[in-house]
Amino acid sequence: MTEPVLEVRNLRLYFETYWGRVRALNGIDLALAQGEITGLVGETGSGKSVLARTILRLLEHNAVIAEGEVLFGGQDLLKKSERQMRDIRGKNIAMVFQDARSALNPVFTVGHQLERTILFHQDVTKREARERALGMLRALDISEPARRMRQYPHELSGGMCQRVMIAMALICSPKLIILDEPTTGLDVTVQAEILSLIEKLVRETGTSALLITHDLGVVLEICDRVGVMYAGQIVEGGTTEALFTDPRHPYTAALQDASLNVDQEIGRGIAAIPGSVPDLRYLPGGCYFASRCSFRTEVCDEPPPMHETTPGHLARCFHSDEVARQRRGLASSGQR
Amino acid sequence: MSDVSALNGARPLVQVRGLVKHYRVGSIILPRILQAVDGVDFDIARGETLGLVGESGCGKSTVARCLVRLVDATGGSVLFDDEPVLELGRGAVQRLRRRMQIVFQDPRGSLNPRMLIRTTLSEPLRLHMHLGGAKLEERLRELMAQVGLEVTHLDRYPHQLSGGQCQRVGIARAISTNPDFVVLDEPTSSLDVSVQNQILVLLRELQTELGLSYLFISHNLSVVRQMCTRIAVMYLGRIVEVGSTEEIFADPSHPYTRALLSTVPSAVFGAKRERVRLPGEVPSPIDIPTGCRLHPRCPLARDVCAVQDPELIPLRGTHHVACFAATGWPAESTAMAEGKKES
Repeated sequence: MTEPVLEVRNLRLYFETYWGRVRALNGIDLALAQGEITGLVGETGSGKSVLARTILRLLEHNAVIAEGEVLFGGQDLLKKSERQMRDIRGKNIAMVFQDARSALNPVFTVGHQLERTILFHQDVTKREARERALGMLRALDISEPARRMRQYPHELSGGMCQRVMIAMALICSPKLIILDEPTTGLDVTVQAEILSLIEKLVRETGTSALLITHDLGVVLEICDRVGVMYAGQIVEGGTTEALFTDPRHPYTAALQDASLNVDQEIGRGIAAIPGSVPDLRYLPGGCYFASRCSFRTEVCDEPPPMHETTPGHLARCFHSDEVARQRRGLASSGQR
Repeated sequence: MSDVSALNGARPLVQVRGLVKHYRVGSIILPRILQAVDGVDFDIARGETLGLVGESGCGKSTVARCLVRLVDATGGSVLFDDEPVLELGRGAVQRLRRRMQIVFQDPRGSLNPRMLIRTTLSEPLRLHMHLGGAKLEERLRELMAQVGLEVTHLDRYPHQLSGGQCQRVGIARAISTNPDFVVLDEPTSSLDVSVQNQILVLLRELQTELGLSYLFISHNLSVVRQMCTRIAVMYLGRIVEVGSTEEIFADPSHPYTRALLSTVPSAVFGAKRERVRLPGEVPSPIDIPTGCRLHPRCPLARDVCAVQDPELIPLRGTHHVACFAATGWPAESTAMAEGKKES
């Protein structure tokens, strides 16, 4: 792997709340490769969005970064001043939020918002900014771009708003684009269009992308690499192929079995993961997944280290070999 | 009217014919009609699960709300166990509601935030089942066990429960009156996968245990595939295709169903599908295209599609589809359409 665009090292973060200390990120190590789409999957409360917001320093006031660094172009973003961050946001690292309609400003036209983004970061005339904005809308397959420029967010459909949001994120040619659940809440047909657009644009412009989602299907569709998050840790990471064909963490395996999909035979049992995510205020001393895990033994009372199972494929589990063996057994007996 | 029943003579529990719901929108000067549901027919047999799928705004939730009389339909008829639901008076509807219940999409939003779970669940029991005192308490405990909650949850408020737990309460409320029929309006769409599956498993267990019939509304085809006996696909207020789950998935015959199926991401590596793309966006239900509603976006459309509205007609077995390309082009216009194709 070449020099990563962004590297997160041993990031620990907690929220100080009235009800106690909520440990949202518990030692995140992550490197995003140049020109790749990295997926980050996990359920609600696993810390995916907090991680994204930490990278851009868009955190609430009660968030405390205990340790770690976020390296972007050799510099630690966590040490930047707010003024310096403003320059980085949108220009070097852009973000697309889940709810595009509320992420756009309702009182300005789409065109105005696009132009302002350009004018804020680059030294161009208003006319040039307008031309660029129009070009970007065209690149996103938006019909009648000139008319869209004059419209307000409420006049657009959800899918259209998300396209505008992506246009705005890409308009300053950032090195990295963070997409936080870009297609959640959209219809499947629209989701498919948006995903293929994201893939196309990322490949064409050579930017790197971090795609946050709870849907394994979305990851499989466009990501090169995947990290699986659970209770503020990355529990498994590797290429999409490795993760899907040969999962090494029990949580990844369970998540895959739980993902219903249309290629499955009808009437196959629905696999549910028993139990629920641990309370981030009272995390156990050992493995966070242990209480829901069928592979659990005494060693799981110790925190498992992240280790390499096969080259480039990491898992945070003592029993990763057993997970692989069991799944191979299942595959050969034709149960999956 | 076409026969959309799959029941071979047995009387369906729910029979919907020509259901229409129009909303008046716009101003006094420029009144417009929003056709949310525009002529929907289907049957639900006892003990079966009918899936109703489609994109947002296609009218699936409106159908559900009309069925249980949460909104009043503009036209059509609904027979529930031979009772004409749409013609009943207020008292009769109240009595009927004991037998038909609904579970809503937003689990937390559908519970009163100021009521204890105990109060929320006691209401239908007092109202419909006339329970009180020790009997009520006993039934509450039984319900909690049935949906996999602890008795201690009874004395909590909705905000103290997780989304999945709130949905379990929603389900407990629905089954508390021993209904025959439950409408599930996107019951898991706001939940995480692992929680979603727990709820789906629960719904299946309850169905066998209590002999329930479900109308399962969802935009998630993977979920529908595992949960439903039959599936009806909706587009812009109409059912465009209906059939058994096997028929719909093995042989999707309406171009819209095909497009819908092809866009679902698969969770199996290497199973990327050929994508059927429909250009443009879903038109507004205020401005519905003439003829077949899909014709401006349809890759198979011919001239006749813009003029004539295809009816839902049987294809094979219980499989019905509303598309000329699948069921044969209308005779008088075939020549015209062929002519166009050659030119």
